Order: sequence, then structure tokens, then C-alpha cells
Amino acid sequence: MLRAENITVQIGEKHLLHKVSAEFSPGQINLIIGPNGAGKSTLIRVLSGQLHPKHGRVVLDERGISTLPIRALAARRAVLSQHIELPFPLSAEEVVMMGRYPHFIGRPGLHDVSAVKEAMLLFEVDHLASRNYQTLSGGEKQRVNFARVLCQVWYSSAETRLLLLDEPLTFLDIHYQFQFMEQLNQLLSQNLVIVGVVHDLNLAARFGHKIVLLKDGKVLAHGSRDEVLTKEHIADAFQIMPSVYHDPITRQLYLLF
Amino acid sequence: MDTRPHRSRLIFTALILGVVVIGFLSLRYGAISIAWSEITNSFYSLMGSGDTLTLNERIFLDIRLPRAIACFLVGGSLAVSGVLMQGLFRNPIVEPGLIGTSSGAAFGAALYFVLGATFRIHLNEWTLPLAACAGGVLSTGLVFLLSRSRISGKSSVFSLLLTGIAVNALFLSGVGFLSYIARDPQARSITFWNLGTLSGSNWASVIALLVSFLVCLFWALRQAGNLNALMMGEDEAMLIGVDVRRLKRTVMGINVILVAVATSFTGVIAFVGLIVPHLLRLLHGSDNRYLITGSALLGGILLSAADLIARLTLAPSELPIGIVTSLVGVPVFVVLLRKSQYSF
Repeated sequence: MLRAENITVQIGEKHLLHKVSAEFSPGQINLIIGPNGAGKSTLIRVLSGQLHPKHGRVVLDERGISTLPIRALAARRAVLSQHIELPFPLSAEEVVMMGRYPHFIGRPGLHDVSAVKEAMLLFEVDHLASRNYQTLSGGEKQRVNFARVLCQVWYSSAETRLLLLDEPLTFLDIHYQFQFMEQLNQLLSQNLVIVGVVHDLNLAARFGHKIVLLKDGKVLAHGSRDEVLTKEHIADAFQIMPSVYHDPITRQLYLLF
Repeated sequence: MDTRPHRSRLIFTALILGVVVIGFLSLRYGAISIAWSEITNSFYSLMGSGDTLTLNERIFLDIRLPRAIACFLVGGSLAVSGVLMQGLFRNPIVEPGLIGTSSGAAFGAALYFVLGATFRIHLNEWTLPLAACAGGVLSTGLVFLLSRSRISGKSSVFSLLLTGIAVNALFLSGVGFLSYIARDPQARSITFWNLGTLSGSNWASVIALLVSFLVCLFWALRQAGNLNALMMGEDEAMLIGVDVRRLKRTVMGINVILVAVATSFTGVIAFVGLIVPHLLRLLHGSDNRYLITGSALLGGILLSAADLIARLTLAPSELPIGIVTSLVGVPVFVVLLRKSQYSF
């Protein structure tokens, strides 16, 4: 269980986040949505321990994450950020291996090598293994980084692990967007908490088990997709009135604008 | 991690072969050529089983051999430091002198030349290296202190870079001032020192260089993985468990020792620290484990070759080695860069 307790982040007089509290459970996909500037990325940075909030704390398994040493935290928490560029040539496989850095000292073990192989197979980048990362396309880089963060938190002890995704679907075409979300679904397990930021509300409606809607640094709504993705909430957050449909057979929720 | 072990094995075999070849060449040739028999004789007499030493054999043992070893170690040190700095600043145009070490060392040396002559300070063979080393440590310390943010107490890479440029300018103008007020012979010494020379090498300097080289190499290799991670940026490195603040301090510490010690015995030698990491990247990518080990060897090979050229062109006189490294290094580098893009 990952819990944000009363998080406030302030720059000067401006509140980026104001008294944000939310719980993120393992075994489901938690998504954060909201308009630009709502504080989504800031919340991810707080949850990952990169940003220390002015007030409040983030608790992972009843322990404040700010009390964990950098390396111990890295072995349990991975973050997929946007836009990762390298100044020097490095093979895609070496980039993925970086995800295993918190798990070995010196040379990677067999365990680490096989984790890298599996993650690369899963995200269909195994054929790019010896390619120079710098020469990959935006989507390929993104998938290589999925593989990297995945093998960072893949095998671990029984402790709860954390996978944070800051707009993971940028650069991906619709095929890979769906494929990625399906793969997240397969990764669900009782000790992996997944929290992601997405922009596409219909993707959120389709894949998010729990959704947090942020606006102006505050939580506007938090709960299941049917609870959060209502006409009123969307209109309030985005100033656009949607029509909400339910597929008669699958009960899948759709938003039309 | 090594993705293509064959290629890297090939490269290291070639490098070791290069070390052997350049080693023999720089022992054999110079102001006077020393025959193989004389070289082997001197080794026998070292082990106490040869005849008394001839003049050539003494030149070999007291001058040629320590100079060859010192040259190799200085080249290796500067090249490794180039890898570390380029990794730390995530920038391929960075070279070891960037954080002020070599300009500070040049200032310390200039101060020694001017003050030593003016005040007739009692001098021995260690005074110059110590003055240079102290200057290098001082200027680097200054860069580090001035670049710390007053708010967070952290040195961002960007402010390090800018402070480095400023402090370099400061110490170089100090060197300029000292050469301006110096009498002719001292001014000449300062100029020569700034171009680099290995002619003063002796066994004492070899031992100092060897200790600094081995300790720093071992220490640097332990940072290689973290430097790889740093390629993705400070935030990303932190996310995969790298203590970036500590890494910066460690790498700068290693760099100060490598550059200050190397520079203090030989003067400022340009370009080795910049070009060697690039050559290796062109061959086999940027894994810092490979780059650090490779640079230690290739830096030594190239500087030994440059020293050989410096000794042979004007024999029996010699060119400052810094002139050779730039004169030969720049065209080679430009051709390489134009021919092949970084790719594999």
C-alpha cells in the first residue's frame, strides 16, 4: 500500500499541491488525470521521493519513503519519466541493464541478465539490444525505458514495490498504447503498486481501476472510474461538457466531447 | 555490460600490443639509440649478475626507462581523467582542465619559477611538483566552493562548468602576470612548463605517478557504473539508486589527484584527455568500464608516441611534448570525427 498523506508543495506563494491525500493499492492500475498544470507530475515526483513536500509525507508499507536510503528505495521503486536522452552512445541493452543497478555491485549476475532479456522480450525491443540508444525512434526509446524500469522492480522480495509512470504513452502509436496498458494489466500482482499519469480520458476509462482527478493542486475526485469520470467532474476540471456512454454489452465507459 | 565481447577483446589485445611496441620503441630510440644488448645488460646488472654499467646503460636506467614509464603514466592519468570529466558533465567537449586543476597547477609552477629566482628559496627536486600540485588543488577547491548554491549547498553541473571557466581565466591571467614581471630565463621556464615536458622524469616521480595512477584507476573503475547511470541525467541516476552528490565529490576528488600529480611533474599537456575517450567511443561505445580501462592504456600509448616524436624531430634537442600532442592530435581527431559518426 502506498499512501500520500496531506501533501503540500509550494513554490513561493503558489501551491503546486495543496493537502493532497490519496491511497494507491497494489494489484490494480491507479491513474492520475487532470488538466495541464493540475500537479500530476508534481505528485509523481513526490510519490517517487524525488521531491520532498513542504508538509505531509508519503508512506510505503507503513514507512515514510524519505527515511529509506537512495539505493534501498531504488530497489523497490522505479519511475518512467518522459524524454530520456543520452549524451553518449550506449546500446539499448546497456540502458535496460541500468534498471538492475540497484540490485548488484560490480558485474551483473545471471539473474540480472535474464531479467533484462525477459523485459526486452516483453516490450518487443529484444531485436534492438545492440543498437545505439541515441539512434532509436521516440517510440523505441520509450519502450526501451519501459523495459528498464520494469526490470528495476520486477523480481524483488516480498516487500511492496512501486512502479510510477509519468505520461508513459507519449510517443506511442495507438497499437503500442493499448499493448502497453494490456501488459500493465498482466503485471498486476499483490505486491506491486502501479501509479500512472495519462492524458487520454478514454484510456483512463478503459484501463484505470482507480482514478485520481486533480485540479489546481487539489484532489477533485478519487475512486473507481464510474465514480470519477462523471459529466460533472470532467466539466469542472476541463471546462468541457462530455457525453458519457456505457457500452451495452461490456459496460465499458466512453466519453465523447 | 559488454554486449559484444569479441570486439572488446580485440580492442584490448590491440591496446596491450600497442603498449609493448611503444614501450620498446621509446626505450630504444631517443637522443642516442640504445642497442638491445645494452638494454638487456642493464637489466642483468640490476639483478646483480651483469658487468659494470657503460654510459649508455646508465642513460638507459637513469633517464630513458623512468622517462618512458612516467610518460605512459601521465598519458593514462590524463585520459582517465578526461573520461571522468566527460561523464560527470555529460558533455563530450569537456577536458580534464575544465574544473581549474591544470591552470592552478600552472600558476603554482609560475609562482615557483618567479619567487624561487627572486628570493633564492632553498629548492630541491620536489619544490616544483609540490608548488604545482598545491596550485591545482587550490584552484579546484575554489571552483567547488564558489559553485555551491547558497540555498541548497549543492553544486550543479552547470554552475561548476561556469565557475570552472571563470577560475581558469583568473589563474591563467595570474600566470600571464607572473611571466610578464619575470626576468627572461624565468619567463622561458614558465612558457616551457606550460607546453609540457617529460625531460625531468626520475624514479621518484615515477613512483609518485604510479601510486596516484593505480589508486585513482581502481577508484575510478568503482564509479564506472554510476557514471553510466549519470548519462541519463541527475534525476534519473538518483532514481536508479545513485547518490549523485557523493558521486560528484568522488569523481572530482579522483580527478584532482590524477591531474594535479600528472601536471606537477610534466607541465600542462593539452589534448590527451579530450581525444583519447573520443577515439575509444568511436571504436566501441560509451560504457564507462570499458572507457576507463581503455583510456588508461591508450592515453599512455599516445603520449609515449608523442614523446618519441618530440625527442626525435629535433634530436639531440627536443620539442615540448604539448606542441606535439596538439599538432598531431588535432588533425587526427578532426579526420576521425568527420569520417565516422558515433554509431555502432
